[in-house]
Amino acid sequence: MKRTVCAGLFALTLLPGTTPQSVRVMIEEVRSSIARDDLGTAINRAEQLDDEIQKQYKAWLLRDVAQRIDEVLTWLPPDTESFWVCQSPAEIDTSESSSQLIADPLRGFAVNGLRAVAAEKYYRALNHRTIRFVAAAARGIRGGRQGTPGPVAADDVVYFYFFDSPIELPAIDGDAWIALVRPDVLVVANNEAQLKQTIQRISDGNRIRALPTNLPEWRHVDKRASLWGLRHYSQQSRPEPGQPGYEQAKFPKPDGLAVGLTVGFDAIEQRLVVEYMSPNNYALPITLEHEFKLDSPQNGVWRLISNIRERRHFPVHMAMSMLGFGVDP
Amino acid sequence: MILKTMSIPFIAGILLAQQSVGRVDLLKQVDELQSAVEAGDWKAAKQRSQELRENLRAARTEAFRSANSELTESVLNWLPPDTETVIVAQEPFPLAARGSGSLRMAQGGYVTGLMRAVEEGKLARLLSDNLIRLAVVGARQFAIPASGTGNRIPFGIIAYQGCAAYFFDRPLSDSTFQRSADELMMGRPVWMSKGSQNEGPSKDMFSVILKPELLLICNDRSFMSETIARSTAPASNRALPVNLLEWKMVDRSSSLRAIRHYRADRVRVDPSRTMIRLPDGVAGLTLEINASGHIKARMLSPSDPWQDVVSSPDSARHATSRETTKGTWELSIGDANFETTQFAVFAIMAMLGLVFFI
Repeated sequence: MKRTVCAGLFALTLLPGTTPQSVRVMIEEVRSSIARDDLGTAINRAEQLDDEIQKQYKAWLLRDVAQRIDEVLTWLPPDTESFWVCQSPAEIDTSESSSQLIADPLRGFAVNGLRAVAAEKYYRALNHRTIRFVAAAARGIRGGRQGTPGPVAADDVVYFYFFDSPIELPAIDGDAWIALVRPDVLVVANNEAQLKQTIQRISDGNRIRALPTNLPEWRHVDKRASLWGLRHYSQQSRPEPGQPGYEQAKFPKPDGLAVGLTVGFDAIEQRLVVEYMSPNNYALPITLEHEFKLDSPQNGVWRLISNIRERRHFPVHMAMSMLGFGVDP
Repeated sequence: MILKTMSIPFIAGILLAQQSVGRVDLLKQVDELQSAVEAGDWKAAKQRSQELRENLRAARTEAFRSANSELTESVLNWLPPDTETVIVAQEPFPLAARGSGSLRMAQGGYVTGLMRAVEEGKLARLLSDNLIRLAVVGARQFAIPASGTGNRIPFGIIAYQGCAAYFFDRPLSDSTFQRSADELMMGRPVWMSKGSQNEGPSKDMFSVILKPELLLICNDRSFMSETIARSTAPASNRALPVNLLEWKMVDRSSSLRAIRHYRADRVRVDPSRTMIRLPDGVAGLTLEINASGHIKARMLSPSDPWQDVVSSPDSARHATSRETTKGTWELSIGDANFETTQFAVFAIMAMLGLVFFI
């Protein structure tokens, strides 16, 4: 229901010059309360109005997210294996500690890529700037610690930061693979080749997209979620016959026949859904059975659901590890 | 006295026109907000809306301030004269307020601790949407809490005798408790329940609606009866008398302030003295937290009592200390992160007597 409401607000803000009637009414109530010196009512109405305007502002920040994400997918190499989008706008606050960011995965994953560069030099320079949304992609993903979300190595990782207005960066160090590809779009990569290729694909106007639309994973992606992602396993990501985990996945590692997975985290409902696609059987190990509920909505799809309000942040980090992104990028 | 029974909007209305951000300014801000909204400039609208909300809250705080000052003095006169520590939270806040800043931590973890402990937490849940416009907490007789099993000190707040006076923005009634009172104390209906602020055994706790908008909660029968008695029959002696030097050291306009005047007769038995390393001869302590979370604590001490706090890795270089006047040492913590804020609030509250055992 809340999703429907949000979608409605989003649609309203897309119409230039349209002001929701509810906002007009609330403004008038605040005005009349102040005019008659009824401060108690004025504060109550102003708080409701502010909540509504925050919603409108958030919807405005995300007004073009679908088009921009389609564009980002054309900037990525065709063998991209994993991709996620965090569409929960966040103002950078460098006073937040690592433990706070771990406990708030949406904020954490929104800034982790930026924090990892040049000892947080650029992250600090961008303090108080607003990130509209972040997309990230990886290929050549290797391993991950079983049962313990942590750093996951990948050959190539790239982040795309969309800001609410043009930004300026301090001088870029030689070993920082970071570039402002548009006045308000920052690209952060983990190596020089990846950054150069990305810039090249942007300037070439490439039209071939990574993770094509006919992949089965797309049918399971919930693009309304605050954080969503998918991974289409490459051959090298899966264990070979005879290797541990070939017959049943040992998350975050897949089994030998796994196709892919999707992740969706709804921040309003605090609900995390992971859909793992594999013809092999899957059962939750004891280490995860309190974190997730498991079912199988269709053949070959294993659905792991977690109530993050109850379980806190651990399952989100596990899901991101399954995508190939650990706590510490 | 008349002010206390007036409705809050009326108080606000009287004062709004006289305030630094008055009616005209607020209406101008509403116009600017509307312009931004009509232009579809949601970024500007967000900014204006937040400013309006904050300015209205500030206007409310200012409107409450003079009345709160009078109410605070009343409560100080009611508290038993041997009260050792007083905390005054005069920045209005909803009981359900959450947050990680120093002010929220002090409000949520310490000021409303007694409220959360009574009636198995049901009262705090029932009143969660209510606004506390002023809270005054008084405490004495700090001691190691009784352990439940084994000899381990139970997790949570130190044992103490104390009362908290919570002034709400709207009147409460006997039906607030959703049950009949358990006894009469000085002719007042009192609700008794079991509760604790630590994991030790529960003890008797007492609640009374002393005035329509004032809820008094105590964790000790004698503390409560004395407070009720003094509220009806003014006494000549008061807790933490006005001539104490500590009162001159603390900014009364701060969102939250606290003072402690150390009792010489409890130096060797009070765990908040014996378990915390302080210079010999410390006499008193004040704390103030402003609306932006800036912390200032001052101690009457022959030498710098803040060295351990300043040099702790938990302070992360955000804490500084200096001697402001001879024998008065000030600790200042500004724009700090969550860990530093948490550490600072825990450390200073412990020095005020409210040690949190972990």
